[in-house]
Amino acid sequence: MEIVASCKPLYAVLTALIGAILVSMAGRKPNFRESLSTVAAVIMFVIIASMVPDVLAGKMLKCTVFDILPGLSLTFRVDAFSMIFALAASFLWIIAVFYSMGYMRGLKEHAQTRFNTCFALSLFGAIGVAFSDNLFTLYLFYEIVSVCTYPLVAHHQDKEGYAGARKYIIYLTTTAKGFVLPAMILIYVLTGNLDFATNISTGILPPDANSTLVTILYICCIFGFAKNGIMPFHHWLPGAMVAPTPVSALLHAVAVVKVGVFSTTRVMLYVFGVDTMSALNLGIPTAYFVSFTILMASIIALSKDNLKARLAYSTVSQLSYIILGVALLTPTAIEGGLIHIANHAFSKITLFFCAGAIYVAAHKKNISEMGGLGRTMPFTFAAFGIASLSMIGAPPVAGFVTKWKLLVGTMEMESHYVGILLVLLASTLLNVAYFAPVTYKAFFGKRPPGEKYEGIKEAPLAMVIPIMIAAIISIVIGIFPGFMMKFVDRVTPDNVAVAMPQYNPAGAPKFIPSVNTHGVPEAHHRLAIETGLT
Amino acid sequence: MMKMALFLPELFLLLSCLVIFLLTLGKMSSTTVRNITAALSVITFLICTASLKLEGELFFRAYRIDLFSQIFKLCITGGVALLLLFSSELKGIEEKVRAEYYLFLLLSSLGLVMLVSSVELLAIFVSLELSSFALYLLVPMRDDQGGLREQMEAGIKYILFGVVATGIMLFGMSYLFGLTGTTYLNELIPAMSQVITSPAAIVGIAMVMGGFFFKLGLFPFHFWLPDVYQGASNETTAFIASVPKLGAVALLIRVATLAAPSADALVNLLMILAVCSMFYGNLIALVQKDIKRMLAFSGIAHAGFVILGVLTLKDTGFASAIYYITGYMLMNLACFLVICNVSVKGENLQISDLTGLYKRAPLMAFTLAVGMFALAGIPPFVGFMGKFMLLAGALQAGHLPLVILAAINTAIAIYYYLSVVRISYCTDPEERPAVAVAPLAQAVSVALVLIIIVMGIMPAAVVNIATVAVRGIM
Amino acid sequence: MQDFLIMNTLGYPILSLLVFLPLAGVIPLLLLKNDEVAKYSTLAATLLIAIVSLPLYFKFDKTTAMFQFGEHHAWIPMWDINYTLGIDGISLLLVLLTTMIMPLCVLCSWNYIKTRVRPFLACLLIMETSMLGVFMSLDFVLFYILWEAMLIPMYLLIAIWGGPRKIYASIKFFLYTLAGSVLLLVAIIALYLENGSFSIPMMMGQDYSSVFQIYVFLAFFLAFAIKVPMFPFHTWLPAAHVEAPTAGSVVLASVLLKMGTYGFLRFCLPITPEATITFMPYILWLSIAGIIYGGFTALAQSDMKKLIAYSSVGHMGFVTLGIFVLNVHGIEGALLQMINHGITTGALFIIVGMIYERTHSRELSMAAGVGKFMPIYVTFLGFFSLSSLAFPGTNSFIGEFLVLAGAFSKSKIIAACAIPGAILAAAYMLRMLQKVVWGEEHNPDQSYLKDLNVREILTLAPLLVFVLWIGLNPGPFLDVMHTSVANLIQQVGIAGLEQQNFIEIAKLVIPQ
Repeated sequence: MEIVASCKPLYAVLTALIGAILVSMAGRKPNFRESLSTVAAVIMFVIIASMVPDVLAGKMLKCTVFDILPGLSLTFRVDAFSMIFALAASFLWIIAVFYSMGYMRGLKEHAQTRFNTCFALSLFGAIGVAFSDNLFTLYLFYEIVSVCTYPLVAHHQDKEGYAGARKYIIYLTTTAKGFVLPAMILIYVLTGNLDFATNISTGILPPDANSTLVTILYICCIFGFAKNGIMPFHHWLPGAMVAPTPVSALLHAVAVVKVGVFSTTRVMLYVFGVDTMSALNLGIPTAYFVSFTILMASIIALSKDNLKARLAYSTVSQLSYIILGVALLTPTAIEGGLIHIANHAFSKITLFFCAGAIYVAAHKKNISEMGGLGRTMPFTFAAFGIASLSMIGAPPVAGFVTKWKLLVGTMEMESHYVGILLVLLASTLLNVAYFAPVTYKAFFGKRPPGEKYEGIKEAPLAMVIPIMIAAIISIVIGIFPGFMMKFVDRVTPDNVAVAMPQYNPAGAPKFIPSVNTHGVPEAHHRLAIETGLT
Repeated sequence: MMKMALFLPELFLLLSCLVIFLLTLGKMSSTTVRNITAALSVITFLICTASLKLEGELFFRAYRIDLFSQIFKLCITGGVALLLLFSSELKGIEEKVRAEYYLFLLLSSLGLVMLVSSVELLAIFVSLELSSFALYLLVPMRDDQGGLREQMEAGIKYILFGVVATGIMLFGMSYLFGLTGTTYLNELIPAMSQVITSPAAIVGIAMVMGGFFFKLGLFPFHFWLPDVYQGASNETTAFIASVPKLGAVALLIRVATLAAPSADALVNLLMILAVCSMFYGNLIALVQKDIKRMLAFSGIAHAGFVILGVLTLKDTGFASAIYYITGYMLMNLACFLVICNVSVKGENLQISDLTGLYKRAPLMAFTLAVGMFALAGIPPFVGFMGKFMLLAGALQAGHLPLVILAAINTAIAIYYYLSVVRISYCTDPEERPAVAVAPLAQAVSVALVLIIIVMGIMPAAVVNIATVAVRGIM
Repeated sequence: MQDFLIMNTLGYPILSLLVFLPLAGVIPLLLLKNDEVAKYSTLAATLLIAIVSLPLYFKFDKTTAMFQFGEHHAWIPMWDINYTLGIDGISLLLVLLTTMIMPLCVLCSWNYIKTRVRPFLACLLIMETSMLGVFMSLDFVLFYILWEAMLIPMYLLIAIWGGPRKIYASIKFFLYTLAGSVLLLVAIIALYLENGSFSIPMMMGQDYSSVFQIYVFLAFFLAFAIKVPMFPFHTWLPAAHVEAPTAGSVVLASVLLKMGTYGFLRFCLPITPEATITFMPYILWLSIAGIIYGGFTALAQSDMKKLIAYSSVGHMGFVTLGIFVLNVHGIEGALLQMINHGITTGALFIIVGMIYERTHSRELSMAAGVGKFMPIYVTFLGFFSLSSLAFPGTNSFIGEFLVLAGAFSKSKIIAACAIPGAILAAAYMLRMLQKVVWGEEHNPDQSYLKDLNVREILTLAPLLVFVLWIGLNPGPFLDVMHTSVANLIQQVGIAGLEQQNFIEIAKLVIPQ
């Protein structure tokens, strides 16, 4: 892989930081402040987009800012893997800025300057995580995200807010300091540096490392990045739903949780590597472990009447898809997991935006109170329906691509595929069970007795437009997954399959080229032919 | 004429005594007497300085002028001069006996000055008695403040204990004479080394030392100390607490040379006494309310410390003891300077009377703090250097347990010294009046502080000369 | 002259200058009658000292482990006590830390101290002399004198300008530290009798007998452990910190505590290496106990100063942990952590002092919710709190990282036991931060509070610069210590080879 020195990743990260500082100083002028946010978001997206050609050309952009200790530096890297997350996050920031403008003004929230500043700072952290080149940089920005989102979670500054925020920070810092920090130091002691590997197969740990130790390290890393929402360290996520909806939307559907899964998968693939993981048989237990989270969270979601709480548990469940995909260690499953980072981001933000819009327009939080509301707020609920389909994994929305890839990836496995298949199917059914009623009730349900929807209108334009954009993008990347798949392809180059002999036995399919420009059906076709399932 | 020069300090002191005696017959005001006395004592001090390097023998070799004796004379007369300079008026002494007070003070000094030069047992005895009897008289001269006649009690106690101690010493001297057939120290030294292993010799030396232990206030000869300190007037206590201890140490060293280079039984005895002294003094001092009593118990502890140097029976140890006791005299004088000046009518001071001293008399508070920290053995003051050298010498002589116990004692002691500093610095004066301090006393206090610091930082000169002096008598 | 000392070639005796300049700074205080002028004069003196100390860094030879800028004069020849000064990679940063902290101490006392201003400033200056001297002296007697002499001004700082329980706190401080160091004196003398010299470098690398080493080590350990303070000798620290005035707390936290750990590095390791290795496990566990204990206790405090004081116990636990794992990472981390703790905790004490000046309370509940009215203040507080909890990118992270890296390569179990301490640090610091910035739903009325003025910002800004500088680019700070640390480890390592035999003997001496 060609490594190019470039300061662009630094600029992208700094844009958010400088944006945050300027926003904090422009506190007294709301319009100026919001336009600053917008400008910063747009500039950041442009900078990130400008790196796309280089990345697609197979280059890796690197920028070392500080050399701290031997083998420890503050370095940014841009490769295909980071691009998946960075593009989604930076693009959604732009949408979220508009949306939150509408939301916050619509509800006349207090402390909007702090809100905007921390918002930008969180993006600073998220993009930093995406672009980090080593475990230290990753950890640094991971912690920045934790700290900067704390004021956002506690935004309302009431009892509930403080309680949620306290839980939030306790979970996140305890796991990060208790698991990631020692793991990081141990890796440093073992290897002498913390830089991520350049491909996903080898990892950076020395081959002769004690296998028990490596297993412990691995477990530390899985649990340490608690933002990934794996049970039992998921409690912070529903608790954090006390935050204003834009925060929930951007941070708990996109930035924060994605930082968690991104970090987890980054470490799984680039620190431990596929080889080590399969040699020590770490993949399958992980897969079963997160399967539990997938099912459990879905079941809990069923029982929640509060829309945001239901979405929160849905998030917990969906995040584990990503880790499940990577843990299966087959190329297609890895692709499925990674593409879900982007897919879930667009769909879930749509759902949260909708929840916020419903709250602003109708002041409704509970699903049971929303009967017939869809007729009053058609656009919002239409978007909600589209995004729900994506969560369920129905075509033609983005989630389908994920489900497909995951299922194919499962089929590539040598053993255990039955169990995982069952998990995926069961979770899909559960998804249907908790998402479908929302839309159904809204459009076809009866109004609850005594409720009058007079005076309730569709949400303000500043909210509806972002919602529609996000929903449309969900469909677009569902129908044309090729653009995002290009990056995912770069992460799992062909040679990975060779590096995994035990998953590629005679008779099982050779590495299946992923969907490029031809869309999903082709892959389906090939799979069908090569496995002889049809 | 040469011999006259050798004896000049003593002669001048004797002359001074006569002058004061004549003055007591007249009706001169006490201030004038005091000024004259102070002037005379300063002149004595200067004469001692001038005669520092003289050497010679007098009175049938019973009286030797050497570096050892001259150093002590210098310190003794210096201490007396400082004392007279800062105690501007004798607040605690009845007006009508003030002139006599000065007379006996000088007489006592004369006794001490002669003591340190005496190298014959009887001469030692006579000098010691001269010094002691003058002191016995000074104690009850205090005016009867509370009507309790405390000063009388103190005086009686002082005399009784003193007489017993002297008796013991005399008894010990007879042992030495009986064993060796001589009373001359320089003949005793070789003769004693023949018989040093015999119990009689040890008992004899120990008993002779007993007389000086009394002066020094070492356990178990310490009983008089707190009561006399408390009963005597502040100025008297200042004198008793500082100057005679110099003489005691000088003679202890002289007697110890009899036992050098080795006498295990004696060393063990001294060790026990030193440890008892330190613990007893420090522990009891912790609970004292009267500052003079506190200093009395602190003095007992310090006496134990000095013994650390004496019991090494080595020149370095002796030199350290000299250095230490000199420093001790200065620190004590600094503390008593403050006590004498803060006490309005010559009454005893409680520690609580020092409340807010930093505001009432900043210089006094500072001097007191320096004195207390120095007594506690905190660097950079002279107390630390002395402690350090004593410990080093004792450890060099192989007394590790003793050194550790001594070190622990310095930690115990800090508490009561610190509480004095605390009271004077950390409390508000409330309604206590400011303290007027005479310029001369101020100058003396500055000088004392400076000497305490300089001696602490640059002890080399003093220790060197002390070592040379000690080697001369061994 | 000696083979351990490179004489000073700067043309002026820079170390002596540093030691005596503060004393010279006391002279104007005696002459001046005006408090304001006295403050400026002291500020100028401390700044001058800071500037004078800079060449130490730039002219420092990083390639040698010998002592540099040496000065040597006979002092008390009959005991072979000399006035020997010199610094190496271990002491250099501590000297610089001291000179940098002192001007800030003067600045942060500007309005805090209202009574007896000149004596206060004099105490500060005398402190500086003795602190610098302790780090520079290469003669044990000189070291000990300065080590003890420092107690007096520190005692007065607490006892005169302290809070309500100042008497108790100051006496406790004095008694503890003095009691610890009396046996140090005995050990020093014992070493002298073995070597015939008080020169510290000459005492290193000698072949002392095992029993001797153990006794000397224990005497050292008691003195330094109290000063650090290590659990369970720490009880004087919270009292002293809470009652001391801001500048006193800053000096105490930033410099005084470092003397204990400096003592470990300078004396215990090279002079009694075998005993060090023998006692290492016990000390490591004590460190862990301190880390955990400090963390939990800090979590329970409602007094901000107490909170920071207990956090010091925890942080210093990390330092001792790093020192006694006896490898390069650990010791370099410990050294860096000493500097970090000086900067961060010093800053936190200054910050608490600032709120105390305004609300006259150090209670968290009284300071709740000041964030709304003092944004600059809470920004500083935020950064220093993050630094204190070892947030990545700040100075403490690097120190803690190195210490833990050293600990992990020594023993994974011990290192793992230290991790909860790191978590607790985050817990109590974030708790304090949250309370101060936002408070609860109902906060006391803070609207009368004024945000920081220029002087206060100037006090904190330099410390913040160092927080980020060390956090992001610790190279310049680590470079100077490499050679000395490597040399130190070599000194201990040689002893490690003879260890087997030694442990048998040690078993006889120490009850198992």
